[in-house]
Amino acid sequence: MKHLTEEQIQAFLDGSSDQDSKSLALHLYFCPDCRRTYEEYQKLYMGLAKAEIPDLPASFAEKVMSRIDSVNPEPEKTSLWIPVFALANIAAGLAAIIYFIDFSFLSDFSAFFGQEGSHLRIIIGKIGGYMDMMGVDLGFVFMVGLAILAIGAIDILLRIAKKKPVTFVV
Amino acid sequence: MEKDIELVKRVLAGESKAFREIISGYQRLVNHIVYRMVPNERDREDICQDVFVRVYQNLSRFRGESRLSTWIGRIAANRCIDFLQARKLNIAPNPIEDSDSLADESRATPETASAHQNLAEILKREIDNIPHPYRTVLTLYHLDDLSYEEIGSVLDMPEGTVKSYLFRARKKLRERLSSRYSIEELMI
Repeated sequence: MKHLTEEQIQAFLDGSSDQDSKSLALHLYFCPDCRRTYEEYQKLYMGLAKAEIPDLPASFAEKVMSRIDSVNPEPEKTSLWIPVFALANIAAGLAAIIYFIDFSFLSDFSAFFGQEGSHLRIIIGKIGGYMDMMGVDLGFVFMVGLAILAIGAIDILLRIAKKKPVTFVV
Repeated sequence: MEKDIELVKRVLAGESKAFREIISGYQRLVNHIVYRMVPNERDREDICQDVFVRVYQNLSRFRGESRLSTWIGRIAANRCIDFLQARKLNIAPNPIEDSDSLADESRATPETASAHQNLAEILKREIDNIPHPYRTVLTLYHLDDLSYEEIGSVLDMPEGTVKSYLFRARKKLRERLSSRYSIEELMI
């Protein structure tokens, strides 16, 4: 009976043997020399699977993340903040103009600038009229706009204090 | 593979939590490659960090043509080669026979080579005494469960060479163990 080579035994254990695994198993069953070699390899394989390498420290991921942040700052996120911030500004500004300003002075403008001045008065007057029709409280719009404006300003100040880029991230 | 691509997409969309998942999923593999390829213990952690920084910077190039593990493994192996070349350390693989004299010096005396020794502990010492390409291949196969093909992709060597390195390394380890210990008495 021809003995198995070590290469055949390793391939059998790896599950990569080209030969019929049943005939190899049969040989190992009846041949004590080959079985001994097989058992030694079997034990070696088990030992190799347990020969662990020291782990990296628990803080490893944190260190990598901080290096990534310093090498490549997080790309600016364009969130809902920018359009919300812009719309709040426009709304608050318009509300303030319509709510607080006496437009009678525009008649002087119309006298001075002619038709253009009276057109501006008509447009602003119409916007105010539509807001009234829709039941929009211009004072409320102004206050909400002002509040969003204040939150945005605080956000910017906090980011400057933390030396982070201003990104308007929610 | 789809899971890998999904994870990469999340990182590219700016989700830092997803990159933490990549680190926790692959730091073991990267550590194994660096540990086996770089002899300088002090530099190993920094190299592992460099690997993940490179992974982050090159993530948009990952096309899903290979598994993320082999793609990251390849970056780790390349970083190790860069390090070894920069330090002018030997990167050419020595034949396994060349390390025999080293191994002889480190062999335990008959007193210390007592029965009922922990096989894994003995193997840790013995693996350190075989040349680097052999021990890297052994670790990737037996600890990281990479296939011949995957190891070949990571270490840029043909599958046949991977098989040959594995065979010779295990043959040498078995010879060393059986010449010094009674295999039956070694505990796993």
